Amino acid sequence: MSCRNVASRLNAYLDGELSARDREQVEQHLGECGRCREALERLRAVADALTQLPTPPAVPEGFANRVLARVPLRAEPQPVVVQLWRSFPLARRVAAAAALVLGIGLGALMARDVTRASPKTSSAADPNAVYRLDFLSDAPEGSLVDAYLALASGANGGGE
Amino acid sequence: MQAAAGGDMDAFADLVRRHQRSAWNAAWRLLDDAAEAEDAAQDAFLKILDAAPRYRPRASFRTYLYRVVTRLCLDRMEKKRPRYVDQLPATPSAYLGPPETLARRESTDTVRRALDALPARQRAAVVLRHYEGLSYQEIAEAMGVSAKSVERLLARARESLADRLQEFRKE
Repeated sequence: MSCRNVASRLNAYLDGELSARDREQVEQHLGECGRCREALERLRAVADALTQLPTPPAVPEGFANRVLARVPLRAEPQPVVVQLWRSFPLARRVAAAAALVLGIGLGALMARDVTRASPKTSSAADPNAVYRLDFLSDAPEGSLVDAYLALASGANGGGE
Repeated sequence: MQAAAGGDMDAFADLVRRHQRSAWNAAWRLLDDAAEAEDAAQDAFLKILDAAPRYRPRASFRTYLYRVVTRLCLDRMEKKRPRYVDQLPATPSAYLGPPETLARRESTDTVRRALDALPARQRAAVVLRHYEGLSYQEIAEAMGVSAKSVERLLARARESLADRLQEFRKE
């Protein structure tokens, strides 16, 4: 192993993260190279210095209770649909949202095409024929059905 | 964890009590501020509760906890204004434990200042390795990077610490 290779593996060597074979090669090099040994000593000095810091204080008293006290504030019951939606991974949710947007967009486009293709006269068609109300034509004058037919014809025909 | 996911608050309370020490230690080391560390550790447990229905045990729960704590702390560290070495308090942390000699105090303060001056991700790698005893793979999972990146982060951090320690000792 060259000095450059060893230098790049010294941290892993110090941390015991090298395979047995790599460790052996590094150690062999260290046995022959004073400069790399010095570099290792420098790293060891840093590791030793870090041990001088005090250990953290005890967990603050009542910590667990304070965590638990925050739970009901946040855990407002949500509808099953929302819970189900949230249980899906983000990628699936994004895909579903994209499919929905695409569906609505395509639907709107198709609706526009259908509207353009429809004959303009459709709005002027006789509602009695369109809705098959012919069977009501025998209704007596002044009856509710007669009034409804008059209203339907009038509304459609623009006051004919 | 599965019981907590199913809404069993006793199971969640048990989980918090069993792992609070790990969460608190890591947060305190990373943030160097007791109030912030408590906030971050509390947030970590609440985040874990939120994510419990989606939790799939790939590694140990401890590794998962470190991942949540580390990410929350990194967010806080990166949002904070950078702390310049000369702005750090000259006195050591209040948590010094038993009385120490003046020389020891100065030395402790020097190390703390050098550690505080590291960029957030390097500091996180050092804390997780040196104080929490995590392997490169565990640190990688906690920080969302590769084990190779952890090795590089540690190499840069230790190089920088060695320089700073030398510099501070000359002062």
